[in-house]
Amino acid sequence: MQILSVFISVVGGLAVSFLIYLGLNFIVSKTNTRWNARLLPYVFLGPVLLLIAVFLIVPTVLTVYQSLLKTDQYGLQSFGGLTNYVSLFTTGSFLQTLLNNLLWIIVVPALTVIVGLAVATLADRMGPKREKTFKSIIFLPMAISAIAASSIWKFVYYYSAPGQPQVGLLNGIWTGLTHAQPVSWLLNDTAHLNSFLLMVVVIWLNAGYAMVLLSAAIKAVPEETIEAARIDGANERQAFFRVIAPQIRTTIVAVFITVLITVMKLFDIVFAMTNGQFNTNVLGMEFYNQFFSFNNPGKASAVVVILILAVVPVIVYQVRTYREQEALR
Amino acid sequence: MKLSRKITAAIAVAAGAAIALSGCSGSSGGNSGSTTVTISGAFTGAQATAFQADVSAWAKTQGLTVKYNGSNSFQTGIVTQVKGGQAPDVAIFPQPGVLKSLISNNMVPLDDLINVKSVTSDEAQGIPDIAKVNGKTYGLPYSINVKSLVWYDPAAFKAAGYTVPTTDAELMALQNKIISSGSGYPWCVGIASQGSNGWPMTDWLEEYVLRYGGLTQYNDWITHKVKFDSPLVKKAAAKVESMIFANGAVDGGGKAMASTDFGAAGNNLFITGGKAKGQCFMMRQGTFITGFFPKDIQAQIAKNDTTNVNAFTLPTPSDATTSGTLGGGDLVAAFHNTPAVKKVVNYLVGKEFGTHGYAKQWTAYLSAHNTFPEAQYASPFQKVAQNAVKQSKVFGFDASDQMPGAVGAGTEWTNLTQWTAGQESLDDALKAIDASWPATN
Repeated sequence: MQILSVFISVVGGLAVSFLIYLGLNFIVSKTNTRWNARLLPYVFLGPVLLLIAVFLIVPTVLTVYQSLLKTDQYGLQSFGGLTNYVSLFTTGSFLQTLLNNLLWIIVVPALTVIVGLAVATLADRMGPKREKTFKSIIFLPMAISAIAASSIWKFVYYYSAPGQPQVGLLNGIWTGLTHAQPVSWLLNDTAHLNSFLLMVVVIWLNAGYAMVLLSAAIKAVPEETIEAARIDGANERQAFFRVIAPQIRTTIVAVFITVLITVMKLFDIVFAMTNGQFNTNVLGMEFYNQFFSFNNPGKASAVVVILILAVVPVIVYQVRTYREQEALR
Repeated sequence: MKLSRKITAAIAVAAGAAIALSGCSGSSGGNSGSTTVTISGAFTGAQATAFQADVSAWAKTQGLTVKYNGSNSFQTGIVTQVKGGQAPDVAIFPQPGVLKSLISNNMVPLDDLINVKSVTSDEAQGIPDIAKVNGKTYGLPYSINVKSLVWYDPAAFKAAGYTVPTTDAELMALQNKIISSGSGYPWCVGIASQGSNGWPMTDWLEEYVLRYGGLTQYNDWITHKVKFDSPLVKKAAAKVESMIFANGAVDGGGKAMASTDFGAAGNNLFITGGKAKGQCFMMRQGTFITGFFPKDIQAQIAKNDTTNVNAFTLPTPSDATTSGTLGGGDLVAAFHNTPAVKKVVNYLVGKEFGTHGYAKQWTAYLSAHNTFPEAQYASPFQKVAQNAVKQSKVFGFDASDQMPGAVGAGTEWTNLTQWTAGQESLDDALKAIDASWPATN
């Protein structure tokens, strides 16, 4: 019965959408040719714009409004102006969270690109068969969910009491090599060590993605340009940095920004590995805590608004690079 | 684009019919005269099956249908559901904080459904007030759990010549004996928990705030009339420090506690080999911990065999105000006021609940009612726990669960974990928790 009703809904929905287009098309076709040409694009774009408005613009506006509401101890909301923002920016822990996020968005995309580029370049030098195997191994973590990856790496960083067998790989190596006390890696925020250890997981997950795109870009670099450089006496390094790198710049930017946006939304890895404790908090985690654990939708929305504001310049930059790229074609 | 009129009309009719049909099958009809009651809760798996079986057996005699829907993500789901106008008839909250935050969303006070006073007359002092707001009761437990229990391995105790302590002085003497003899570590403690690191440490603190302060001060602590940075909380924390922070009390000390999962911490109760292997002798943890013990121990528990596992009540210090039991519970709240819901709520929070098989099948179940027939309990631990509640004067519901989320599930977890790991002094931790208390408006 349910399947039938779903089927009818789908078919009916499609039919209705089709009819709407048909009707609007019919109305426009009755106008004269000049108006016809003017209106027609809007007729076909209109519904999409409407959907974007309903599912993107309205929620954004509502989020901004919500961020201005404060919540009392029983969950009742009232207008609070900028209270949420003031309270966020005056707590040390939130400023630490912002700093952590900043570290993440600088370090992770950069290292992902570097690792991806290194692997792509080196793999390119191998024979086709070995290249495939090598790339598959690097690409494999892409297939693992972030939570599963966190579980794996939690074991790598695992800390057992001194004197007990060290189950964690890293502590196993550490105590084996130095005969020192085991280190509680995820608790240790000296120089943001634990944050960097979490970043390793994200890089591990995304290096494959970066490698695939960058490798394709490197292979697309015309052989003649490299050859010409070699004839002119360029060594390997010069050929790479002066010939290949500029030609794959747009791909590098695209990978960098995609990873950067992933990192800005980051939540699951921090949630599963440290729960945002020991100074590893990030904005995504803070949003979750405020909304679900602390039951404070106003403050959670404020965190989201801050996140949106932080992402906007990145997106503007990306759109601009994309346009430049299009203009070249 | 041109299509014949006839075809267009045919499509229009078909589409209209489709919408009418799907609209009909999609709506779910009114609820007031219904005999079906939906319950949402956080427990799943075998517990949910046992619960459903008990409730169904009872509902049959009443001509009702009760559907239980358990979800691991209940806490987050219920907020979305209720705020979106999709509340179930009855919801069972593991924490009063979330329950209280939803009161303004059409929650029905239980006073409208049951006679609260007579239903709770045989419950420990403190239980009826857990979800009381402005004089109205919004939630009552269908089941409680007791946290003031110390788990141990009787065989290991026997082998080492230890006896179960009945007073705090005896407990401390035993602890010192274990440390000085080098036969192992007195305590197993782990305070990590995926997604909620730190809550086991809040329990340790609560045990002693309740006992040193009594129920009134304990409740004042929950509402921040008593500060974290107060002599009472400091006294309780000092007691905790004297126990599990003492030198040689826990294998690996604070850092190991902060990195060890609470569920895994108990594994070393059941090993031999003393200090070298990390063997420990006692673990203060709630009734639910049995589900985290090693498989062979769980098999023994299933057979009610107490050769290798048993529990005793955490003794009260001699200078305490009251002997208390710390615990939690699953609170029943209602979102609709219909005759069927009334009956179901009456059953769930009454002392009859559990007698249709739940108490026997789900051996972690503990009725909030002191007069619940002991014979209904299948496991020896249920009886130990019931005795603990009966004997103590007051029942303190998990304080961190009742504090504002930003504290009880936020800074208290974070700062107490930092304190445990030795990254923050007690004073700094307590001050930081006080500072994070949301402004009351």
